[in-house]
Amino acid sequence: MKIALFSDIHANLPALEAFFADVDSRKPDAIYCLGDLVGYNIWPNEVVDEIRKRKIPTIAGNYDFGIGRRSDDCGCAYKTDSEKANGAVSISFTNEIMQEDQRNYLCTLPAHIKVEFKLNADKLHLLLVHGSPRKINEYLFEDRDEKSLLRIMEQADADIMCFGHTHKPYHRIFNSGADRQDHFRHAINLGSVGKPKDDNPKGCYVMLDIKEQSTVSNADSIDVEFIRFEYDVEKAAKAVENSPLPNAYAENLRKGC
Amino acid sequence: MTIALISDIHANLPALEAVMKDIGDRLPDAVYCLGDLVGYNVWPNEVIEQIRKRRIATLAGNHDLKVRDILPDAKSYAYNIVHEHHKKYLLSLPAHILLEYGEDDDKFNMLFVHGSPRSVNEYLLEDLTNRICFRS
Repeated sequence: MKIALFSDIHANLPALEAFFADVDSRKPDAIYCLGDLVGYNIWPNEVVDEIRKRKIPTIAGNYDFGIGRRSDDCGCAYKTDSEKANGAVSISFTNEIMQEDQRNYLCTLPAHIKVEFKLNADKLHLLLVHGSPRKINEYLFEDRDEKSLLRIMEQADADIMCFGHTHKPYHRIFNSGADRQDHFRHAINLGSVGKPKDDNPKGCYVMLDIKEQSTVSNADSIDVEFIRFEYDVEKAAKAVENSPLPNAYAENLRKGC
Repeated sequence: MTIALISDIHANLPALEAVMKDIGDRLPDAVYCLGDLVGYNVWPNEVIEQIRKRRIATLAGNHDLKVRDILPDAKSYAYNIVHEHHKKYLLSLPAHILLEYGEDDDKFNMLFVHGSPRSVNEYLLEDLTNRICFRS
């Protein structure tokens, strides 16, 4: 079965609409959303409405968690003073425009979804988290130490772990088997639909193909494809500029950073 | 959020169409299907097509797994009429889906299975004792 996985829309409705057009043309059998529907742009309510309308199983991101509880902290690790100041504007603006029904939806989202396959009596666990299994706002970057990533996956009993939060896509495969018994584990960062940060302004999502023959003992038996799609970046950037949100977010969208 | 849960369609297309219409009126935020799309009626392909088209997160039931080893006899009719590409879909479905809610000190889990967490074809009947229910 083909499973589409996407994450980090961040209130970018033009990007979400382009994602739906692209993913619909590829006819997946299931779609999951790994959170961060809101923040940094002007359409948080519309993004929530579109995802609810399509009944997409969705987990909470750190921004959803913050807005769901009307908090002024999104749990983001801003580095500089200007990033912190801009972040404060974004969360206060989002809290201001978020409607009650959409906010309630955000605060009732699950933290993780575990999809447990038993193919040919072989177990294969697909774990969906926003940041990491331990923390909704932990950043799992591509350069993370292999031992650390493996320990996180082993502790969570995840053979395939999909996550977002960093907005930088990657797929790493580790062999955690012992005694000459291969056990491949896949760490997959989905990238971001509405706020990519890997120097590519196109939106990003993942298509996973699980077959009857898929197994932890063969790394190539699970197909992972990263899909980039164009969307109306200018529309999303102009919306930022015509709002109380900091103009830096518009530039980030244009550059993909 | 509201979650709609359906199960045991058993190739009954009129019933699936009716439940989809009813669910459509109630506007749930998510829909899950707990398996047994096929068997006992003549529309297994149409039922699978509807479920796939709507991208409903679906589990494999014991009848869905029967398409793996079927004999070309009259008793297996309901499974033999399933198209090859739909058989591949059925055989790649997950066994369980677990939704984990809450934070460190306030967690709860919601588990979807077809028969029981132990076996796809175990019957958990209503009069099962609590002791067994909590243990399994």
